Amino acid sequence: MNSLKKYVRHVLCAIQETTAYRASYFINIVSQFVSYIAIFFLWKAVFMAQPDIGGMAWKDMQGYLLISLFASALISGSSEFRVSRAIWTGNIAVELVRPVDYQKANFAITVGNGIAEGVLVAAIGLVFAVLIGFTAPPENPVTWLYFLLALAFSFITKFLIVYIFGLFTFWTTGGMGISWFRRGITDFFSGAIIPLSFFPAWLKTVSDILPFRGIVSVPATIFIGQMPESQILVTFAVEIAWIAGLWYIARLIWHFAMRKVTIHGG
Amino acid sequence: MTVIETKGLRKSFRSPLKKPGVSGAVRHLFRPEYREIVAVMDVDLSIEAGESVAYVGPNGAGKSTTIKMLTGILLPSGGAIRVNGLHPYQERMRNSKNIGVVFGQRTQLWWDIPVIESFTLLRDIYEVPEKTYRENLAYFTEMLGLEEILHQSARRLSLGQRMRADLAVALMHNPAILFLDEPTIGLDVAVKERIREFLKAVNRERSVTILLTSHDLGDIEDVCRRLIIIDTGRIIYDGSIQGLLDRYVKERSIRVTAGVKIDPAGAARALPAGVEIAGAGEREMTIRFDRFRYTARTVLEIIMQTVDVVDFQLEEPDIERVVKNVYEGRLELSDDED
Amino acid sequence: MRLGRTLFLFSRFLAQNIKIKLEYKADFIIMLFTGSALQLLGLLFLGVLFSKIPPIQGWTMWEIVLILASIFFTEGVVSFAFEGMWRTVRLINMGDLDRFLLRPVSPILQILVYDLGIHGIGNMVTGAVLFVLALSRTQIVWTADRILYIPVLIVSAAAIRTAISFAANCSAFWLTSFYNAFPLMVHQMADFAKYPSTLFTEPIRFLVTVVLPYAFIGYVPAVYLFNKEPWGVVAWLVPAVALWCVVVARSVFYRGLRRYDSPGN
Repeated sequence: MNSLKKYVRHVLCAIQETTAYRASYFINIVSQFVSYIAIFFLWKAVFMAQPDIGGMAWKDMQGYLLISLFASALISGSSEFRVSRAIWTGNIAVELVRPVDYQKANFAITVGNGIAEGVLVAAIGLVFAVLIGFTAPPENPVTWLYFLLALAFSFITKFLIVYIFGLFTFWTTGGMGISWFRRGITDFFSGAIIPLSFFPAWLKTVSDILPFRGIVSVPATIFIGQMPESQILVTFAVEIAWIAGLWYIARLIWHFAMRKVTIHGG
Repeated sequence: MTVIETKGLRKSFRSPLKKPGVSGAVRHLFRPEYREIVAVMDVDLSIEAGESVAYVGPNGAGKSTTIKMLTGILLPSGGAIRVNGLHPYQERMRNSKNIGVVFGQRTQLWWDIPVIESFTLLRDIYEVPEKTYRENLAYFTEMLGLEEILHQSARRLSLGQRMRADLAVALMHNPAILFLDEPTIGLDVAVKERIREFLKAVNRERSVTILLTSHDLGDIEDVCRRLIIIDTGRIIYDGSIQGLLDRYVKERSIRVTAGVKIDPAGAARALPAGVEIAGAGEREMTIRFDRFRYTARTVLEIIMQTVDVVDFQLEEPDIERVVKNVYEGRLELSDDED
Repeated sequence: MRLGRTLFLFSRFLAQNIKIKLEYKADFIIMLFTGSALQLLGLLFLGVLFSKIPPIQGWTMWEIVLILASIFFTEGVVSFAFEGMWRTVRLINMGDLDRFLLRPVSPILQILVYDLGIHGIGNMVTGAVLFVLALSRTQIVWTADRILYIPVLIVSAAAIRTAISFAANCSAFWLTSFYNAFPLMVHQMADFAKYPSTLFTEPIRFLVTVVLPYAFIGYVPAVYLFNKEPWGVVAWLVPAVALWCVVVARSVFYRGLRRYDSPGN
């Protein structure tokens, strides 16, 4: 239990760190919403021209986009750049000497970030929902349960993906480029901008195999009630498998990174 | 001609004031508090061409802040400032052609290219005429021993090598003033020596005005003739190093070695006012005396009356101790001291 | 600073950066790959999108692609040559800006060329290819003024993009945390420019045309080239808009510089 306390401390520190600079804190949150406004209007215009696309109506799409926004905003850029920044500045040496598991510590910090930012994002999201006239949250409490579970998986999966890409900084110096690449892949294959159900069959198969859909598509689809229970359970099983897999892949990459550091003296 | 002149120079920063813990952080979100930190307050400087001046003070005293204002990096919060006749912040680019700067912890070199490439890039940036460039390059290569590092990239250099290259960079365009911020930090004795010789040569032969901050008082004693001490943003001493010693070092010490065991109590009784025992061992004793009242010879004669002296050592007043005392607040340097 | 000298120094820095990047071959290739992969994804996105949806508000798919292509291309140019501006946050917070301030060269130029974005090459190529493709599949009446417009557009668009992103990155002077989402947000607002402004409500249209004139990079030129509306000639204002953006960006930088406190010792 002592070691758990260590990580709880990380969470608390992260909350403080995230809110340390007021202006940045508020702006970071607002900026999450901005990119979604463009997508929102685009789809609105599309649905006005064609009311039913791929089995979704506009009200479904609204819910979908809302969850997409929320899920993406939970882990924001501050988590993304922490690892790569530590590596780039060499500060990581300090972090490595601490008697904590680096991966777990990072997760704890991300949770802290998520709490600090998630609260505000949820609040603004609620306002946003009202503004766009969204009136169809799920009525079934079981759906809500599945939804919350899906969100938890989404959080963990996204953390692992961001973390793994962050570790790539050990091997390459392309700061923004790597980040844009990760965002691009994640946004595309998670269904953040286009629901995966719109994909042509072959592309859909690819995205079903990859872990990204757990980040947006799964919670969003559950939320708008378009995933039957049997499918939910299978999907969750796959997600858990991916989370376990990614966790260990991350450790493996970490292992290689440490070897590189000790050989080259970072 | 005065090349550096400031009057009432001031710089303050705004810093957020936060209570600890998560609650403090959240409170700060909704009701932030700030306080003003004054880094430099009312600094008057007047430095003539060709001088070599040491600018000294404890950490956080405002040394680097002053240098950054003089080099145009920071905008002063108040006061008048003129370097080479220009306002360094407002006329930064013009001023930068007349100054050379070496920051101990940062380098002007590009990290991934050979040093010589950095030189040529900077030659182009400073628009140094080819002839001048080649002459300076030859001169610096010889004086600083740069041959072996010219074709290495900066990331492979040791601290000492990097510092030497940075010195060459700073002087390549023949600036009138050279600013150095902690240039010898982390360097070994041999390299320090070499750099000090170089600075003296440059000051002497090329009349480059030097303003140097350093924690290494050896640098200061060797290279500089004038000493300015700054503490918590204010200048508390401005004059020659010898003047500082003359003014504030009242004492000197003699260490004597005796042939037989010393009786410190007996010896002490014989000492007049203004002479006292600073420390005593079996056969050694250190005597401290007010150097304005007694000469070393007199004190020695007094001691020899009660101690069988076989050897002695005169200790010179030590600027290190003086400055240390100033930092620790034990020496109040005020103007009414005479 | 004189223009000639600026261009000379710029090319010197650019050449130096390319040399350095080529030294790290693995890195170079990775970046080239990620840039291209990203573009491919973008194309896939377009493909999926357009397979499902009908023409939006009178714009055919290829016309929208044309707008997108010109935005990709300018984004690529700016990413490639001026990637340095994305390091501004780091430069300011680590006090590395000092070095630039001590030299008799515009610090803005030094910041812009500080880094090279190899992934920008992928953008440029995709943009160029898409642009040519779209041209062949859309109706444009090529008069002399329209032909002349293209190079003017490219240069002005690059200037606008650079100026806006650079100014956004200067927010680091005011927002001092290590992670600053503001520049990225402003950059992503360019997404609004990828689609016809008629798609959006008034306030957003105002934002994208007047406040952050992204519309002048994609939408307005498209209106002009396709002769969609009589007011399309307004597209020729783009160099003036570019000049305006550059002036504003420059003053934002110098305003911010006054607050710079050179952290780190």
